[in-house]
Amino acid sequence: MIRSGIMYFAMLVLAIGILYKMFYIQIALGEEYREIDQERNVRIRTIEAARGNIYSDDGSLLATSFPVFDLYWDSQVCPDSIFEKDIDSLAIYLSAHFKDKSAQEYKNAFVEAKQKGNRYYRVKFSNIRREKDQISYTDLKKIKKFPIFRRGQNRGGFIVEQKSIRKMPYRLLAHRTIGYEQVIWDDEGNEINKLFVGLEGAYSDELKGVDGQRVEQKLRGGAWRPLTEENQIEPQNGNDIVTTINIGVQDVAESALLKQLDSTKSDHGCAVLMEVKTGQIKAIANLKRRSDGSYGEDMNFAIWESLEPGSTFKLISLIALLEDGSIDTNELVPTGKVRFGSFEMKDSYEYGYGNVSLARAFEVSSNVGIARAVTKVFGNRPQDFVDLIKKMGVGEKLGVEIQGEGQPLIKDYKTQGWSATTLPWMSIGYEVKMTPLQLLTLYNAVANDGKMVKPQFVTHIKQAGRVEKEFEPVVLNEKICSQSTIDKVKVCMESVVTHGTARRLSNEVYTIAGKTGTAQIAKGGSGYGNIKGEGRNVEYTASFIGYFPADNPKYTCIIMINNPRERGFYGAEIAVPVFREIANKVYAMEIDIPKNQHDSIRIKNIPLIQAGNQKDIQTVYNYLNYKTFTDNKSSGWVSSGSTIANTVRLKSVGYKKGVVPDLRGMGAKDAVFLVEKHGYVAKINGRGHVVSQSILPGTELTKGSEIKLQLGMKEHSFTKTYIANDSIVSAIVADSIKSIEENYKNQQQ
Amino acid sequence: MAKLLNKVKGDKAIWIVVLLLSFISMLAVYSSTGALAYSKQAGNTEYYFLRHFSYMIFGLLLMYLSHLVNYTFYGRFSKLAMYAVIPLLVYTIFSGSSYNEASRWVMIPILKLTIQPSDIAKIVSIVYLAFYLRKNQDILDDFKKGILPVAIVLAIVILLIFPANLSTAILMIATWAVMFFVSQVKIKHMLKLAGLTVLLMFTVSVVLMNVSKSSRVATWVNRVVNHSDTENVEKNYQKEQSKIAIASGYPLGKGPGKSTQRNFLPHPYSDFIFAIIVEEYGPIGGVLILVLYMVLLYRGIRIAIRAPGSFGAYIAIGITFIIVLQAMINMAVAVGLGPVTGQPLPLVSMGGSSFWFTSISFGILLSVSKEIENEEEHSENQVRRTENRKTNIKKEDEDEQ
Repeated sequence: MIRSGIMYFAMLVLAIGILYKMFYIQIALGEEYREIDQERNVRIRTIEAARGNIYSDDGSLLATSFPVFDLYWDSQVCPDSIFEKDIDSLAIYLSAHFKDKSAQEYKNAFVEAKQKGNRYYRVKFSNIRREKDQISYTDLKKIKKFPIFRRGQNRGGFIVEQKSIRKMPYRLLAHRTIGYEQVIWDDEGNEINKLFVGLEGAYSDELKGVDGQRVEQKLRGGAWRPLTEENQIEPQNGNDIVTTINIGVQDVAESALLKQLDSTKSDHGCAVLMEVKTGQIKAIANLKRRSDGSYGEDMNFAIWESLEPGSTFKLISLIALLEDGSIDTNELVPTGKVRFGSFEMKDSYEYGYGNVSLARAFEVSSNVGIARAVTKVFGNRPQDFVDLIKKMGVGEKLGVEIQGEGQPLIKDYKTQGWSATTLPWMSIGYEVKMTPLQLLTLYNAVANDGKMVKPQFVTHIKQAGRVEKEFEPVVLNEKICSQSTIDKVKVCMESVVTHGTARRLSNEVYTIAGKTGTAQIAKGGSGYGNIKGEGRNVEYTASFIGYFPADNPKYTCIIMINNPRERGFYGAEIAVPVFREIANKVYAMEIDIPKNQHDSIRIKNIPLIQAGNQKDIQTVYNYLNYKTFTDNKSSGWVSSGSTIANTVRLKSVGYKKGVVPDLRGMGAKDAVFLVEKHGYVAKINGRGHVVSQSILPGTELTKGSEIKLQLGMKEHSFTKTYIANDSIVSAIVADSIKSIEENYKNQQQ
Repeated sequence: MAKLLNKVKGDKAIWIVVLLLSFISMLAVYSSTGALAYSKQAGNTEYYFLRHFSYMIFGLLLMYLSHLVNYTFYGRFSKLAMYAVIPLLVYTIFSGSSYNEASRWVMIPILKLTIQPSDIAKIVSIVYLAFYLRKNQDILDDFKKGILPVAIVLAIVILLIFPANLSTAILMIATWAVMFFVSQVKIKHMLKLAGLTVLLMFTVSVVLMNVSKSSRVATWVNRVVNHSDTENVEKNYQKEQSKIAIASGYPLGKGPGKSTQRNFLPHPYSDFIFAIIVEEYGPIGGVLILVLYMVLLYRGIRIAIRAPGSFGAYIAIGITFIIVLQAMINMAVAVGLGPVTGQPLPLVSMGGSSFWFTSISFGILLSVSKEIENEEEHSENQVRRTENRKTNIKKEDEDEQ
């Protein structure tokens, strides 16, 4: 008991001792130590990883990040002796490199920093917005070799900080779809949030990489300085994404759209081109008129803007009619004017075309014809019409990865907003809403024989050139309708171009199929106003959606132009020319470089022989799988003449005695043989072919003279390139040989 | 929950102190492993925290399980355990893995877990000694017959530990001394023991230093006995850093997770965790830790005094003392009262195996405390019964009247 008490007491003394010492350190010694602590204040700063690149389908850079550097200097690290010795040359180097200040100015600044004991003197700062004020990695490599700086951070006080800059080399092209970082401000102008739009946003997790970390130390003035030369954790660069965008096509689409928007003073518009089989988006242009009259890629209308499509919706109505099966394309329908309840529907040509077939009504985009057909078939059972539309896959979002896809609207029968006039107006593209991309996807499904594929923007994700992920086309609907319906609507769409509203697309080289659209834009709740439209107080959306070549569709394309103010408002007037320009250029590009035949075009070199024994040369060429044909089979000495593809023409060479022959390009054996045959003495130097000869060809020279021959390995200069493996070329070759041989024969005769 | 609480027996104050220290431990470890997490786990600061947390949960489970066992059971196995620990210590010296430049650790093959056999030796030797003292109570006055046999066994243990881990050896010797002291061993005998201990350790040190310079022994001696200059510089640096941490925590602390000295102190999550706690929570944090350990000591001694038998009393004293003394040594080092030793702060420092052995120690202590409660309940019942009988007799008497 007592002994336990003694023990407790002993421990208590120890505890009090510890407490005393703790307070002693804190109070008596506190100031001094706290000061040390202040100096040592450290924090961990995140170092942003470099974002991955975004590539076009052929590997052109659409968006890329690269590092730039800020340079600082800690004046208390470098020993005085070294500073005094090297500061002059450092100042000269810096002045020579940046060309912004004189060497003396640089020196003065360093000396001042040193006098003040500045531990974080800013030597040079990379301006994110001004390219010429940025220190690149190449710059840094040079600067790191400058006097004092080459001693590094711990011995020279040279501090390097890295930051990253994002660049889009093609600037405007597909700008909104590729995406960028958008800063959102509140009413008072404070930054609330930053987010990436477009593909930058959709694939941000892949692109952003893993941030690194660096420990920094707080300085007396409140600035922070990296504590060590190396990062604690090196940032890992983000993955690259390879998009489906083709720069060439994008350029065509963007400029064609811009030209038209500008000349019609339209509010905004979009043009999207999709590959039929895969759904790959080869071009997506979105342009909006800014207050200064210029156009910019500010909103992704193609993906976001859900609007009443107007006449382009008639394709969907036509499919529904044919799928239902109770009428066919030859069914006669009235055109002109018709009254549904208290509303009158008119065609754009209000006198109408009389009673025409359903196919013709589609061709001329007759509102009345289509609406009458639909009300006739579905008047008693509107929901069947809606169901047929929904069965195609229309009315649902596509689920594209880019944020902000517009919600389509297809009303169900007897739900809110369904009225007696809904069915007829719906059949001609009102009281429904779809985005341009959703319309395009449907048209593409028709072009693709009923298979609806999802628009694809990205094909690969890569890390350092290695493929990490590959995206296959996504099928949304294996068959939107029966094959017979597909075949029929395809014919109708071709007729739109050959005989209907889009006649100006008709050309002799290739065929186009599609549908024009002209929709009046609903203004608020007041409906569409008076269709007669006094003057131009109504806004229109002009569109054209089509695919080409019609017989074997490769691309589907939508052009939508909103609120044109000049030069008309019909789809045929406004949208079709843009489509024509894009389709023509894309078609021409396709011919220049046949698709999937890149591999078959091989550039080959054919070796040329300056001169040699005809039989030897023929043997060599045959051995190398080249063909030869000759002017004169009896000639002993020949040289390679003109070539056609892989075939060489051998020309006979005559030599005169007493005249120095042209030996250049010959092999040593032939050259020496020929020289000796002429009675001269050959002196050889080097290996390979004759590169030069001491006596020029054609010189008259007495026998027994010496000719020095310099040999070398310059065989490239004795080859000719040609395109191999092309059947057309082979045919041309055969033709040419024939004609040359005939010529020769004629000459001989 | 209530069911579980019912099953938790033993001194509630000790349970509460253990839980409080564990809680503080989680906060301090999370904050102080930052630098380690950056260098070893690519900045995954949760890694060490979660590992520590799971060790802690397992430790508390071990504590609960070992407190359910009747403490006399440990006594019966103590001799066997003691003889098993000695070869383990020998093995450690020659093949243990080095950490902090001393051969103190052994890797358990399958679990891939390093343990410090001296941690096992601590708890086993206490139980062993307590059992011996109780069994040979009557002959403790006879130095040769009563004291020497146990002293020889303990001397072997010390010889195996002190060259690599002097501070633990001293901690154990001090604890045994206290146990001898409270078991009423004559002061005369204790002085004799002290003299012998000093003589033995001195002799062995001299022998080791003169042992052939070749082979493993030489490097071992070098590592253990000769402190190089760089090591002294390093230790002074550590002391200074610790002082900066403590001073900068005045008066209210920097706040949880705001330590900066964790980047400069080596092992801020272990040897210098007290400094980090004071830095982040101020002197109040330091005082709280000290008070918690003093409460522990008080409750431990209370258990010893009220223990039903002297075996329980000795165990309680030994366990309580070794834990609290280790804590005091750790904190003394942190405030610069003693040389840098590398003793962790029990229950607070990060570390798997040492936490578990501390937990088991607490379990045994609580097992003693549980017996006291049982006994008291038992005697209370007896008292009640006698009183009942008395009243009954009274009633009967009254009835008779």
